[in-house]
Amino acid sequence: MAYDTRLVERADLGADVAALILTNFTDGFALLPGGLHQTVSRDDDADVDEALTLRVRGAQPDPDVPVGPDDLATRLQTFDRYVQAINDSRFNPAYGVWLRTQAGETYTRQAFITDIPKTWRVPIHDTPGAVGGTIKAFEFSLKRRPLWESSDIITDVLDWPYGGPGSTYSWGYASLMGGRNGDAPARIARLILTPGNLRRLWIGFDNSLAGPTDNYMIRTWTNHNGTTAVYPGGGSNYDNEDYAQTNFTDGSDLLRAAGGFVDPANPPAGGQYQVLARLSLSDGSTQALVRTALGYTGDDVTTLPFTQRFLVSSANPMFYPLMIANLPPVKSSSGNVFSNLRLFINAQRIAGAGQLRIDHAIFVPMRKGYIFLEGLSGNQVVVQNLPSGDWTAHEISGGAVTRAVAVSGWGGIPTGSDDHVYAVGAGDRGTDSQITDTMTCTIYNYARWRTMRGAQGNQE
Amino acid sequence: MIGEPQELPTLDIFDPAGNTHFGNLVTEAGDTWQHTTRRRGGNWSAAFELTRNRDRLIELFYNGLNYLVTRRLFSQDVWSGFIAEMTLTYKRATYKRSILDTAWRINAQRSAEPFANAVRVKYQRTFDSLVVNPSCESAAWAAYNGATVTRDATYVTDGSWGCKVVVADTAIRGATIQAAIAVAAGRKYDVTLDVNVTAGSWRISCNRADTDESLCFWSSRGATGILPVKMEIPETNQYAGNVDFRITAEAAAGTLYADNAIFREQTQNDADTGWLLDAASIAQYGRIENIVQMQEMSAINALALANQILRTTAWPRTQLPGRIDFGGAAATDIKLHINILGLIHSYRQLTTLQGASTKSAVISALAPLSSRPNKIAIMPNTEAYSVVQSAGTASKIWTVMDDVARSGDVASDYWRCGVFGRSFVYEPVSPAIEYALQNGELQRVDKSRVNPWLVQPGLIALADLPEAVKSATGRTLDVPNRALVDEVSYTRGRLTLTLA
Repeated sequence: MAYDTRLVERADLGADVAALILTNFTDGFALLPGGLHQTVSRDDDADVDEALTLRVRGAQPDPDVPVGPDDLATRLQTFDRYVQAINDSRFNPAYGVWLRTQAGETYTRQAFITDIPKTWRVPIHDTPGAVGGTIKAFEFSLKRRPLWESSDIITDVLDWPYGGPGSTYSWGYASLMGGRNGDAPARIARLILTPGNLRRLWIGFDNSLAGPTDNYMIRTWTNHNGTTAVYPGGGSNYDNEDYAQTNFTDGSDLLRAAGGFVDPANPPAGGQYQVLARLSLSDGSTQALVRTALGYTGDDVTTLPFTQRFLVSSANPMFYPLMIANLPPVKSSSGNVFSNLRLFINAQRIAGAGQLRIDHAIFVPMRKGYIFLEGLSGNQVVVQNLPSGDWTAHEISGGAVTRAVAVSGWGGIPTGSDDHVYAVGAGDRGTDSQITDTMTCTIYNYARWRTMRGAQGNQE
Repeated sequence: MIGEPQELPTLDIFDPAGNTHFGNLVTEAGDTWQHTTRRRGGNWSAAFELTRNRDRLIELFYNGLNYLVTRRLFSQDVWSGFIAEMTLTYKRATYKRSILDTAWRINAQRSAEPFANAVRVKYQRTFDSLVVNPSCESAAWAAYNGATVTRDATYVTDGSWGCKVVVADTAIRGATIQAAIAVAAGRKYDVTLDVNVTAGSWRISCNRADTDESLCFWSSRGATGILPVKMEIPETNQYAGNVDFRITAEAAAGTLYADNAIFREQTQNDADTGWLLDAASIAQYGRIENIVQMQEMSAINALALANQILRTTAWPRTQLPGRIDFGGAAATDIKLHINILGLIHSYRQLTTLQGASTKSAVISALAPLSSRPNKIAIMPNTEAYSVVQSAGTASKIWTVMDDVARSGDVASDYWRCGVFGRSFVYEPVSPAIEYALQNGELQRVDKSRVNPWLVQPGLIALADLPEAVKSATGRTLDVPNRALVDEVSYTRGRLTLTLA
């Protein structure tokens, strides 16, 4: 049951380089009683302010000689080394200073220091304190990341497409992850991705008591608006080897709509999702404007608010982001509140004589954490959620960065027991999608806590 | 009040090659971001501030104009635009780099010329006088038929000398101001002369050199005193050849003083230098046009002016502050304020498109004229529309698009037209209610959370008002508690809806 607070200098994902213990005068500093009232934030992202009151006692190289101002200076010089490291980390947040603490808990926890005040005051000109080599109350404040994290890495390896029921390959199945402790999503310190043929990809993390199923996908469609959705044999490049198809027949301006259920037995929970659909046209000279709406069985599709239209003009199947869906908060006595939820895809042909093909739709969860990458070239990609909270992504070849890549990243990997934490992934080639494409990624992440860690290890 | 989401869209800045030199600025930009999105225009304007990492900020300040700024939530573009202006505050001074305001004026009476890499000057073209010795500064005019012609300073309106013509008898004598002035057929010439007649009757004429027929003439008809001579060879003149510009007595003895003879082609309206281009700037910033209207000037001067405007406004220059204050606290901080315009503002050129068509055909013709939107979605609108251009002028592309969007169609009064994210969209506003204002809060109609970053112009139900009866017209917006959100403005913690 250790009570310990220290500054630790280290690289993210690396070992400790140096430490300054701020308790028990081990390194000359001691937290005063009431000297740290820990700040807790409900926000996962905004930095929090922390204030420490310390007593400082000069170093005593010779026990027979009383400590004096020079000995005190030695202590402050050690402290100021960490100040310099914090300054430097504002330009390179992959290396910096953590506030590591243990309030009597079994395990330590640490939070990255993002900033310190421009100035602070130290009563070194007080006598007899300075003459005696002590500062009674050294007040210091800092900004740190809001969540405490473990200093030990969890490593996960994920593969897509995950071979789910009914299909050898299909984008959108959830890939299982080991359970992890903590009470806030784990930080994805580094994700190393081998994208293969993929040029853009979506990964969303979620947890569920039910474990992974295909409840993030829509694989069958029904017709709406007086049209007949048909289900021809789609060939091996379509999920379940089939797709729904519009029946534009008489002119180019008729609206056609198809609706699909998320698996009624295992509908998604309320929350926020990036909805994708794998769409193609029967020939390359046809163009269709497509829009989408969420509704329920029995809804008149014409009365739903639809999203903005987008153009589909390629005969290659591809993923199209349809909407960011917010499933409303609803409480039902019998569970499965969203078993009647439908995604409507509404299309209008504006050129050509072909048909729109709808393969399957995916609800990529956004609630806990997500990553979106595009413009990849096939090289290995390293995505980092830096200790400062910034996200970066770089392509790497032969161990050297070849270019910076734009990344949309947020949150992390949710907590949960084994088999109940998973990631939904989808990817395509940017101008084409082959269902046999695969990708592999290794994620190095840190479990995180909001207030105390206690006796929790990293993983369950 | 709005439900503020924890997750913020990513903030990336891309250079023209599509590289993210300045990616992941979410944390640095903090809460300073604000933006506006309009039904007609799409993503309209935005601004944010950066205060960390001096070297990076100065690099961005130097190079960032016209760079693409995108905010993306997962893979959805929620706002895109290009950097139009940056203001750097550093060590007391404020510097600006802008492609909106060049701060450069042609003259004090004009406002600053806009940034442009395609410049043309429209002006009233003036011509030089064809009289080489208009005021007898070098010598007296030549005597005609034995009159006495001398340089004289009695009556001077231009320079130091005038001309004195004395005829002592009734023969047709006088002075040739200039012989053999070449004129072209079908052009109008203005001829002026300042005269002071003390005695006699005089005729000023421009006669064909071959037949001595007058193309134009003026007579004093015996009047004396200061008489301005103003005459013209009309546009209907078919003679092309030499003309003699002359003063003669009208069969009476007399004395005349004259000065300041002018013989020149009449000023032409609607003269035009044509486009002058800076190809390198166009490659960097896209074609940005500026047509400058000027008053009377010569062709040479107009071309020189157009070149000067092009040189001065085709590349952004760092503008120094109007003043620098010394005093107060020492300024060690750095701050970069970035103004962004939505991609609809990349439709800056003029179009000569005109004639009758359908509304969506007009939009389809204009939408590809900017390369910055990466997707185009145009719904058919078969209602007829005629683009009317005044003679000799052109309209800006967005002005035409905006007019088409404003006019909607019979079935749906309201259309959206603009660049939303990086998608150009022209479509009717969805007739279904999308939002509800309930208990003073904005919700989706299904009561799901509204992410303020995703709020778009659309129909809103004012649900705090009692439910109203249906409208007699059947139109959604004729129901008293329905409204159209025409503009959405967002700053952290505040969403402002402007209703149409």
